[in-house]
Amino acid sequence: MYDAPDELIDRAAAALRRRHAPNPRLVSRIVALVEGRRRRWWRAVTWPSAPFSLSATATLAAAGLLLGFLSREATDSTGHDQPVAAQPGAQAIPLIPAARASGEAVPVPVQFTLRDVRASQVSLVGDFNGWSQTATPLEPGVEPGTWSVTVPLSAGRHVYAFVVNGKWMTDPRAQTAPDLDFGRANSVLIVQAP
Amino acid sequence: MRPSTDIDPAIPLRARDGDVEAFAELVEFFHVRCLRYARYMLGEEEDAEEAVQDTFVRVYDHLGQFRPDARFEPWLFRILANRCRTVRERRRRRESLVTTGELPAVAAEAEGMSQDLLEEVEAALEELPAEQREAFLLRHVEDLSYEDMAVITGVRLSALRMRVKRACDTLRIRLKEER
Repeated sequence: MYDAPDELIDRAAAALRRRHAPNPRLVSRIVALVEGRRRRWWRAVTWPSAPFSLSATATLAAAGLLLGFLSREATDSTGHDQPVAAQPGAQAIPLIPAARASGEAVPVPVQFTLRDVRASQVSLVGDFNGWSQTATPLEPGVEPGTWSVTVPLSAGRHVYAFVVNGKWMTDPRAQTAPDLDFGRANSVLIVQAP
Repeated sequence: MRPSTDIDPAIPLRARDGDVEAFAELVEFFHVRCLRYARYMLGEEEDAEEAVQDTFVRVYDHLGQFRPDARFEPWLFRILANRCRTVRERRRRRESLVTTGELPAVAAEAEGMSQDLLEEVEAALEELPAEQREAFLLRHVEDLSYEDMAVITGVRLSALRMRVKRACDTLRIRLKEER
């Protein structure tokens, strides 16, 4: 009843459809833009030359390294407020390199952990690895159901999610940011430069 | 039934895996429709090109989020519709839907519609509320299903059907008045 055939509407729509022509200039511009960008696979992120010290974590974190979920956009508009205990836990643990080159932006090693006894395969996806489901797998820990991976992240806001047994899920302990374009929320993490 | 307007599903997956040529194929395949939609939503060529360019760059940056079992077309148009809303919001002080630049007018004649009437269609389209114009363009000009439109707009099917109906009613009245 809503889309009954209507000659006038059909003719108007057909004319509107044919109103525009290919725009090779725009196509070239877009392709050139993305070729210049490439995918952001670990872009601008390199590990520090010296290994970082796990034992330094607590001290340095207390000294001012902030890893938080402080984005203005980081509001879960979906109203999800399920108890963490009922879900797999996830925790990002800030680590800091023991040595860094002076004057250079140094990536901050960040450990992502997840607790989910049902998981048989877990990976981390985010804007820092091109949302690749294969680039950053989490390794199972000694304790059953624990998974973790450490990745170097540049300072700034990062958006990420876990893929557990092939299904995307947000980090239940992190703030989420709804993404209108892609139809699902992701977790938000802000890393401040050490 | 109109032929499918979607692309070979292997191409977005190749682009997702880093194949820039595949991405260029996507742009080549969809950019005319994207430009057309953006132009009718935004009114000006410059704004439309900006929205389309932003859309494809955003698509490129987030191809990793594109699921293998998903269809590319509604995913793309969802991003485009959001970009258009952003641009429109930023420039809403512009009231007129004035098209600039050269427009190929051959199509109007090919459809048996005079240039005058085509201009009347565009003027009537301009006067529709944005959500009705969006629904009409997606349904009747871009040939998308209501299910795809729901993905694109985040609006329920019943509301979309009502928007399309109201848009058609208004256009029909306006176009008959002009005759």
